[in-house]
Amino acid sequence: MSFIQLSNVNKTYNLKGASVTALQTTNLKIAQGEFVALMGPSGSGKSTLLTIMGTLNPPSSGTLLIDEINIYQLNQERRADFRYMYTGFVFQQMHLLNYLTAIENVMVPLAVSKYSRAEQYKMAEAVLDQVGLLKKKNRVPSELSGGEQQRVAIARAIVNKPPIIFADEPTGSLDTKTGAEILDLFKALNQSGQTIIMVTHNPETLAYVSRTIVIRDGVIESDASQSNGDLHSQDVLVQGV
Amino acid sequence: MRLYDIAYRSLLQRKGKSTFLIIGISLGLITILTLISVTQFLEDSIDQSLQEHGAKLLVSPKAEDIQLSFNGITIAGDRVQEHIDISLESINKIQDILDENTKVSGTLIQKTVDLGIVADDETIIVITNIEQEIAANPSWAIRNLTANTLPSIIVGQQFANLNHIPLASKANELLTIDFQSIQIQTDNYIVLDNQGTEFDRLVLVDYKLIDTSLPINVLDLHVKASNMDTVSKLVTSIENQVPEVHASVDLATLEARQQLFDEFKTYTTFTIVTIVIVGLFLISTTMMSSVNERINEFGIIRTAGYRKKHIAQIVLTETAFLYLASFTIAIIVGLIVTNIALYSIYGTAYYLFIPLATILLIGVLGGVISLIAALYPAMKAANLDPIEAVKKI
Repeated sequence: MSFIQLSNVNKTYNLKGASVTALQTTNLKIAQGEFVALMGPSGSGKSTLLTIMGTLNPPSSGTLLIDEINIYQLNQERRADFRYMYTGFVFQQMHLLNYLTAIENVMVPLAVSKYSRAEQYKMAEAVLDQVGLLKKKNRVPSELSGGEQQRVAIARAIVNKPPIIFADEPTGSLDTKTGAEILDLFKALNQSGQTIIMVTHNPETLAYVSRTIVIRDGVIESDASQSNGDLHSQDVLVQGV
Repeated sequence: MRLYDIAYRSLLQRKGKSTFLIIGISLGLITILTLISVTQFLEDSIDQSLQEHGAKLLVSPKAEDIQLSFNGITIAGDRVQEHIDISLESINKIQDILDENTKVSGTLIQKTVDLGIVADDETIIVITNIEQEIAANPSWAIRNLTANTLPSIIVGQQFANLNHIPLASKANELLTIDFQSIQIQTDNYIVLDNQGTEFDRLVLVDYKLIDTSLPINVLDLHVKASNMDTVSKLVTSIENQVPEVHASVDLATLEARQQLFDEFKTYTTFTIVTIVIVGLFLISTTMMSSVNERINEFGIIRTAGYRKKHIAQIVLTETAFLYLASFTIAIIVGLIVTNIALYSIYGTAYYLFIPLATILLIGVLGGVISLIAALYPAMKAANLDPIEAVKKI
């Protein structure tokens, strides 16, 4: 049973009067608990696909179902509520709020929740512990390394326990060792049941993911499942036309 | 963590911009508070003077040609000697109007104003009730009088000086007054201290010195009212109900102050409107610039599930915090500035002035205006397309 399902999704942008196709008739199914890498050259449409699945970017046509909810039939405010309950985002640049401490940054998504301050604090402490940064909870971002900041960003993305995490090149600005640590963290989250969809250029990611989707010129070129870092099978579910 | 925590911490982060805005709003509020307070103090002071010292209404017969000026008004008549009088019926009507008007209290003094000769010099003589005159004119500062020491004649200082009338009466030095066919000689007179009014050139004679009943051509109404408006309405009422008389207000200093007050009020209104417009732009542009700097931040928190209203709430809460800080500073500094300004204007007549109603009014209106100014930046922040914001990341 697919958890995320894209059907006939197209996305075109108007750039200076010209119509540019970012994504062509894309059909895709992702099951709960998958760790999916979206790969492809720059401008191939992988980030567009990520933001469409992330409920941020309405497609020009087609539908997105997540947990059987037709996302783009919801209005913007309902989609925001959906994001709060279902999704967490991690970006290449961590973009922590530099005026808040690590634990306060983690608590940001909870500011619109009904949790009390004490409950929020406990939840944030728990996820900071999970990402190994509890001891640095009171530091502001400028006092943290890039890898530590990315861990805080991941903690912020998972604090409200969303079933899906979207990550856009989360290791892009990190050195190899720190990048590997972050990927370990994502792997651990995936093993605890969270679906992870990650845009990446980093081939080392393939050792961590359960499925790799390659996009080129707005079309899914290949879609392969793998286990233990080896290509397990080539199963192109739907080829863009 | 609550939205207002984010708003508060964000302001602390942007100390420079926040301080600039707080100073701007504070200066505006201080100016508004000072102007309104000084205006209010002026108005209160005029009303207080009106209540304490009263206003003087002079009622004279209505006629086309004018011959005689008395105390700032004119006594009408072809010739003064023809005695164009105020009828007893008119006097009674005016007394009734005064009695029926619950907003004013006052005394009606009946006078005969005529030309006469005092100490061989022609002057205006006012036959009146001296006791009532002294009571109605506390500024004359004639004190410690009893029924036995009440003067029969009061001579204006300017007239006394011109005619070498001694300031204090002496036994056997009689003051001689001739008017119409009457001659009076008495040593029971006093010379009034300089008043800076027409009284300085007049001679007031107590009606008890005159045996005959003289026609009344001037009514002097000393009224105490809470404000100028009430006095003006009384004048209109007299002129409407007693058409044969002309009534006018002799306010001298009060009128000048009222005019100054009116001009100051116009200036105040203009300045306040200007400050409000500038304030609106100041808040709006500063908050707009803050929103533009934080597109990424808003994008990130939109991806975290914040609704549009949450983003707007953050911007509006920041504005509210800035306004509260500005308001607090403005009240403290504004009250000091106001009281210094009032002290420099009024000197010893000054008293500690805390205009609570004005502070409340400024507080509420300023708050509403600040929020209106922040509305556009708040809406802009709320309506940021999260995908556009995220694209910038």
